[in-house]
Amino acid sequence: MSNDGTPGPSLAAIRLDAAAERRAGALSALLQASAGGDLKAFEALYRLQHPRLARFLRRVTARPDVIDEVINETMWVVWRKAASFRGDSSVDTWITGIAYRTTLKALRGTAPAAELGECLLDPAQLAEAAAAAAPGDSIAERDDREWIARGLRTLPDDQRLTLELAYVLGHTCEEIAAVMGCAVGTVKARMFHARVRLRNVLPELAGERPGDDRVGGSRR
Amino acid sequence: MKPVDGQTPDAAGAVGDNGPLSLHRRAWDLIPWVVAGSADADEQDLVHAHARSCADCRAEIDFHEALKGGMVSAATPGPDEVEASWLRLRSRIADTDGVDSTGGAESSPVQVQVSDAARGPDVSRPVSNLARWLVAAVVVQSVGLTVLGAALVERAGSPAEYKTLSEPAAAEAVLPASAIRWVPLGTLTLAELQTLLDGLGWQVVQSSGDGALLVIAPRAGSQTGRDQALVRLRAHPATQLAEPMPASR
Repeated sequence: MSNDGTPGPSLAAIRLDAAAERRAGALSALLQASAGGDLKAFEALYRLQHPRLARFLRRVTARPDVIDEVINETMWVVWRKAASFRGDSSVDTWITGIAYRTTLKALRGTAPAAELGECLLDPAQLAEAAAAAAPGDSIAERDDREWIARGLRTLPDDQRLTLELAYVLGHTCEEIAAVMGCAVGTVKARMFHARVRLRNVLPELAGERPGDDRVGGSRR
Repeated sequence: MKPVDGQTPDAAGAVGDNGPLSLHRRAWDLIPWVVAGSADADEQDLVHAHARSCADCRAEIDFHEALKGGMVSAATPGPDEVEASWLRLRSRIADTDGVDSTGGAESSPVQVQVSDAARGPDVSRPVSNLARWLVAAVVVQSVGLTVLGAALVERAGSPAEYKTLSEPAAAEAVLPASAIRWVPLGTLTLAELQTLLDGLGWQVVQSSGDGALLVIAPRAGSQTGRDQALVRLRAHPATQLAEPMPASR
């Protein structure tokens, strides 16, 4: 922040911002064309959104059928509602918000009366799915994924999803507030409590399995 | 690991808007967003500058780097998986009547051409299955290509077959049949873009207002056909999307 006397944005940051702006512009263009009935534009939008939605949903459920259902239900809503997009948020955020609500609905549908976290597979199965999703990882990396997955499982859903939206999809605090339909301060508080809990839980979990010094100082 | 509550004794205080926050507190609050890559440049600079002299924040950054590394997977859905999912959704769209958005045939502000084969009867008229929809699409495309070919023959005496950036939008209907819609990454510099297009013997003939979405077409005498150009564009690391324009199919 300039009033602290720090230097201005770096060239790399400027380039990243420019790339983000161009992506946002492309998504906006494709969404507008989709609103006009251009199925080819919508297909292009679909192919750009599918990987990021799948990446997020794999963090929420290990069931491929649910992932596929949520993505297509989300994009179906996007196709139907494209004309109603007003640009209050980015296209990515708008679509993530639809996916978020669709996910909650789908998972509650698979296990009536259960909350989001309770619908998921148990930690071991989820860790197995995470490892399978990254077949190139070493044993140590898979071990770390399992360890972190177990830590995340101890968080309430709203805190865990805040972390997932921030780290997996790269949404800003403001965007997450829009996606989850809450105040920015609420997102900050959820992030804060998630951090505190993980700081306490992860070292405990690390002590429960061998080789717990692999991830470095953060776990001490 | 230092206890977190030793740095931020009160959650509400850490996230509240009342009173000036210390530099350390501000940096600490920003760390997840900096690690996630969603903080702005000023916030990143603030955190990194502070962390140089703060061991606690450096440890917190390390912690969040490890956390993020354990959450983010490089794995992406395979092409077959995406294709199968898309075909299911397209079939649903084709099978559904009363889609409001298909009724609006207004030209898009980004000058993305609307294919006759991609809307109208295909998305507004119910059909029984995907195969019938595809057959209908092929028929409509054939008709469209025939009309387009006739139009091109009639325009043989025209000075140019492509639309330049300065020409009005009304001329967009005369895009060459081999035109490609291309979305390059924002990191692609103008020089790199020019080198790539020169290598193909192609040029930009349309662009969205912000330049994020380009329509490119071969220059006169280019030896690179559309399919060849598509292969090379899709193989280029700066390509987000490259596909034939609907009217060219």
